Amino acid sequence: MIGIPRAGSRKKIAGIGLPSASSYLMVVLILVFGVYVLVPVLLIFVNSFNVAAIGQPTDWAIDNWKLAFSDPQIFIALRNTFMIFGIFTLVSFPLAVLIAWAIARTKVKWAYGLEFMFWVSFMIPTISVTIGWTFLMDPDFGILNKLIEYLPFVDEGPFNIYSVPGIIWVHLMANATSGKVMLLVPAFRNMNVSLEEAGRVSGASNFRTMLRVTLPLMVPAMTVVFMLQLVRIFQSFETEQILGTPIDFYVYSTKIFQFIRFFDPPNYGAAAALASLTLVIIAIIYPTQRWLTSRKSYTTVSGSFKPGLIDLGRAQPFVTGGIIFMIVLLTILPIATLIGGSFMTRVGFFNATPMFTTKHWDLVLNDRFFIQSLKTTIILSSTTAIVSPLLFSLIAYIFVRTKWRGKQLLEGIFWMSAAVPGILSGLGLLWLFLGFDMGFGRFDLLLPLYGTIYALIMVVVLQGKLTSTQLIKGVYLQMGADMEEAARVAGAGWLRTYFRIWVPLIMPTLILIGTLNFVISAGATGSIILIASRETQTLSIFALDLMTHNTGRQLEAAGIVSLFIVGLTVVVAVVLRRFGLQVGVRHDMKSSKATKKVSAPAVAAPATLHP
Amino acid sequence: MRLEHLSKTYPGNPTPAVDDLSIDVFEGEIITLLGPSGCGKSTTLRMVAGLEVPDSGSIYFGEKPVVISDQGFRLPPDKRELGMVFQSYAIWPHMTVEENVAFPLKSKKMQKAEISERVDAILELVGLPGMQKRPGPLLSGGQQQRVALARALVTEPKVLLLDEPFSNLDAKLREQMRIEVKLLQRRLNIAVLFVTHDQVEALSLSDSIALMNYGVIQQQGEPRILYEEPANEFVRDFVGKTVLFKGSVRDANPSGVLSISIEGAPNCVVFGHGYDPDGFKSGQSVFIGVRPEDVEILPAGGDELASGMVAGVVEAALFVGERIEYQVKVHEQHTMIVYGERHVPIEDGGKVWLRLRPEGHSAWPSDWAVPVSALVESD
Amino acid sequence: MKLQRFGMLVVLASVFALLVAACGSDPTPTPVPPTATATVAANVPTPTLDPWVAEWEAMKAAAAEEGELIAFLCCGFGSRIGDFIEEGELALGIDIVNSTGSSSQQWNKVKAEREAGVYTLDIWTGGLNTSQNRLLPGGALADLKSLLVSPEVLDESLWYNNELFWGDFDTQKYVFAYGGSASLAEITYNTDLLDPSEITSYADLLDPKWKGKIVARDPRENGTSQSTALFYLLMGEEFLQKLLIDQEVVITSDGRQAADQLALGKYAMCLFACTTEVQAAREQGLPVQENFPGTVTEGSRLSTGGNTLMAIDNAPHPAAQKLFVNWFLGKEGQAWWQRIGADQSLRTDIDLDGVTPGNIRQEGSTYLLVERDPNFNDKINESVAAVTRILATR
Repeated sequence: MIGIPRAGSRKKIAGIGLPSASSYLMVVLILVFGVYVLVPVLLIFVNSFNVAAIGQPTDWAIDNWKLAFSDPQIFIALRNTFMIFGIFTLVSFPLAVLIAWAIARTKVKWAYGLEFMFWVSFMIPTISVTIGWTFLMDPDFGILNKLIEYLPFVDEGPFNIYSVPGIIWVHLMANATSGKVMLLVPAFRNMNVSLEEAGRVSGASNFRTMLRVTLPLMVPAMTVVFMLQLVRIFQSFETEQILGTPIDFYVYSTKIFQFIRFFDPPNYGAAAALASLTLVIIAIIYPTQRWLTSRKSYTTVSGSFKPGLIDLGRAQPFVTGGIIFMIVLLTILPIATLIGGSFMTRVGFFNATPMFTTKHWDLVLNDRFFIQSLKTTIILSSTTAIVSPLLFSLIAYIFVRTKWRGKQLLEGIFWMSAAVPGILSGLGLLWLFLGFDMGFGRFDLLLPLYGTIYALIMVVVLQGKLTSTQLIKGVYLQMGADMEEAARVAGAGWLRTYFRIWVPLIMPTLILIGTLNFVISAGATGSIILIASRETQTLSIFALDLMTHNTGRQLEAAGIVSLFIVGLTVVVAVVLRRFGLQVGVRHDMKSSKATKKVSAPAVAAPATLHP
Repeated sequence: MRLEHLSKTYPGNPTPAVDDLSIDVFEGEIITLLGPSGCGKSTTLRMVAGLEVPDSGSIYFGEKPVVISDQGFRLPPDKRELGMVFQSYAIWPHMTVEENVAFPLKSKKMQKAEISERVDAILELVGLPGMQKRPGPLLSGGQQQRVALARALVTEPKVLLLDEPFSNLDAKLREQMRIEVKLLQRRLNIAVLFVTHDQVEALSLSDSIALMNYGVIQQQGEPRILYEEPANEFVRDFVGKTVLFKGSVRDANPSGVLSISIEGAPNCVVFGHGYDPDGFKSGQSVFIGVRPEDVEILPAGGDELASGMVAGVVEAALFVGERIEYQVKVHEQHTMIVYGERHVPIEDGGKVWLRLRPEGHSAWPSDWAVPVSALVESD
Repeated sequence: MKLQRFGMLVVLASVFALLVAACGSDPTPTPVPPTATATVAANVPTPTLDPWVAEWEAMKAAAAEEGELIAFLCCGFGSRIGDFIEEGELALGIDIVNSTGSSSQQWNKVKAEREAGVYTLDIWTGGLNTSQNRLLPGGALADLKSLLVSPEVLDESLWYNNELFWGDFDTQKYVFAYGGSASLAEITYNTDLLDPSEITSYADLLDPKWKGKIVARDPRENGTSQSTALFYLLMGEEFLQKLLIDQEVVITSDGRQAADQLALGKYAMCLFACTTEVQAAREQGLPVQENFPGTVTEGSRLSTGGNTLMAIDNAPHPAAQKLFVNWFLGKEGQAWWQRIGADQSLRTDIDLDGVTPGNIRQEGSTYLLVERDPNFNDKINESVAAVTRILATR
């Protein structure tokens, strides 16, 4: 596969060599993913030019586009989006880097447990976090404000969640920080401590060493994380909607959302027109990250691997304390709110009658479809957790380790999958499965899957393709090709090499991918709601139903369902991490002296040892 | 093993990495591919291993075809039954020593008991008895190298490929491993294709050396031949150190031996082999390639230059342990390196006389009347 | 080694998952055991001379062969919709499957499915605007009128205003409005902060003492647009301008948030379709009220709410469809619906058990039937556009 040639003799036919098996495989992959990704995107955009009313024959015009971009507030909204993103990234990135560095590189106590807490934080739905903080920081009734007002010299509590800082705060508390920590820790663990030791010996403090030695080597990993977040800049809108509407603060994604909610029937065309801006962002990101990953400096971090941790001495307990404090904010608080709130008649209200109740739990547990949803979610998400690491590690392998022609095209297709956000992508997928008119016939290859659980499985397994392949790519790039070459020369076929050499070496990342995809699939709504039916309803759709219930939002019950989702994910994550211990690299001792030349082989340090 | 007319050009490079290369390796022989970085030696080795694809040419192991480019036939690396030691050793960190070494046998589907036996035996052989359960990353550099060797040999291959295996070791270990590998190879009677840029290693280890540059074999032959009778300037300068004296031909005899007089030392005449297919004419300017160890350095014995000597002045003296290396500005020549005994140091600025060995040098065509850097060194 | 074990585990797990999936996605539901039908049939008075009963039985038998009905019961059913479905299944002898999702999502599905030649829906109940803007022009509706055979459904004297309220004004056969709740004033309020007698006209909302004390759901959203239209029609654009700008009405993105803030006492009133959420809050013991007890001089209106019935064209279960519409619009069906939902049926021959007091039509009162206006839809769009303009200046 590395251009490692295949067996067999092929006669030339009239001087033209027959294409090898790898070319066939690439064609198949490009076709399959190309159709799966590009067709929905194309349909959405093509349809945006159809301005006909319902029931009328197609009418091509650019009215929707004109409407979308003629709103003078669009540019303000765009500016707001970048401003919010810019600020919370500026804050969360260094913070996450510091946390990741502390957890991965220093002798922080319970490092693996702390790391896991950040994972749990990531699993908590953003909307729960947002609403939770409104109860704490509402300017008039927020609990924190009320507490501070008890202080003698204070008139009014200082916090106002309904503000731009409030929005940024919620982002930081929701996924902005925890997501980055989750993705950066494994990369930081790949660091060779002898490089850091060299820094210390030459007179730099721990901090300076981190800044000048460790971080530059982590730049590629950090860049991947940054780009994955940038490409989704227009996806998040719940927080801005809840906190921004009361102060007339709008971001680009709420504008997209408004075309769907303020128009009857919804104006998907205008929404798509606005969403097309993501294409521009992709067009910038994709070549940039290709350029970045083609540079030599990306490869390898260690010669012979030396696991070692930095002792921060007297600062250590403070650092540990700081991380624990973050975890309280990011994980403990929201979980406690979810649990506590689920027993309140109305979450946040202490004057409801009765204040506490179990009726929300009754509602959820006794719902006709609860067990079914639970089952469906388990099936879907477990399949995803198992299939996605394998599938995407193979595809990432193609991107990194082979010279197959067409792999750039395939990777570009993967980036395109981020082009269309939320509900629009769900619509595109609906059209893909039901089939559409191609002009010369109908494309209904996937129609038999429609309405079945297999369609859902396909959608959720493939949902995380971009993030998964990019992360695994990053890990592969840290590894020397000689690991594989040695196995091939030693007589192992490609398959054996893959499972005996690669998989164990990248196991920590595979576990991360499996868990991440589990979380994503368990929480997926937009992409599957249109192709799901009652029988194939998931917990996340159940939660969505509760949130949009026609007797009023069942916030507390939805929170309970979220707890189930988080609980499931925690179980899966623990199982996967334990498993990783068995198969991954064991690194619980000091290694030999560093070799003279820092050459090819790099070893992925696993998130193993004592969880 | 036969390599026939192998060529490979990497996409984006104007010049080929390997250009029409042919080598035969005989059973039980150690052949070294020697050369500077980028000369194509590693590429050649990797083509033999199956990790690179030649653009043209063929490879045979005995009678068995391994690569026939014309027919598009290529045996994949896992079917070539070679042993290979990588420059980085490529010891798998998630496996123990035992698991690393047993890996090639697992592909052959042997019984566990037999595998265990073979592993134990080969670990004995490479000098690592009892290390079976040690995890990969815990080994020192030398130990890793031995494990890599064990892994390469455990399947009893006919051919062993070594890709600069000693370059990561310290000097002492390097020497030790060199001897061990040579002894091992003799014992097992395997053909070895060895790649290195270290000419001392190549000279000491090989039965035959193929010196490469720009993808082409510059000269192939016994180490001695390369040293004493370099085929061209590149070989001359790469293998061992050479000092160039300006001189002119006095006489040539049909077998190619020339008598040359040294510029600036009218009474000094030496004999050397000429390297010019067109032959040399009397009076022609030449460079005389002289090995520093073939020059004796003496303090000047007076103002009058003795017969057969060349005069010079010491500019610097470097004590390197087993000898002193002098930078000597030679009369009407350039500054050159000459070796002297450590017991009889000559001070900076001292006048010296150099006595060249009478024969065994090489003469190279030149027009040294045009200024040219004549001090050519290599390591 | 351990990897092999894992590999086996993966294989086993996948096989298991696929098996479960295969079992879980069985599209054919378990058929209703014939005994149930027999039991129900036993409770119906034995048909003797009444030809309608015989027809009814025949319809039931035909439906039983199909076995199920797929309905999208959008709005106006409340949290006890499960009970309603159970009742329906009992009365009709078939399974009733309630489709998930919002109106929008459901329409996307139906539209796309129909284009692909896939038909999965039989019945749609929902708001008038959905039918006007999507289903009707989309050609998805079947001739409902022709399906109605039950005498008590067709008897106009049993309906409000002695007429059958067809939502499709031009064609009068596709969209049947069955709900008609009264609403006195579109104001929900915090009982600690507002004395309802202070408001006798919508114009009172412009009193400076309410500046900054009013919260609203977003008047531009589809769910609130009817309410927006009402204010627009009754009070005009200038009023809305003063209300939204001068009175600094605070807009929230959703009803629950607005109701929370009302209940907290941050605001005195909640406007624009806050009823559902405020009702939920009141039922939880909070000091809010969703039914404004007084009347305003501008008058009250009758609203169909989300309560119109439509039959989908090319339904997969036509017999079940026919059975359902005749039952649902009849006395028994409407009584059940009314009991479970909050709204009042347009039928006049059933008791008011289950109707929220504030929704009950008062005898002798006249109500503005806003939706009677065939141009109501355009008026809604106009009002939303106006409000959007106004809010853009903030």
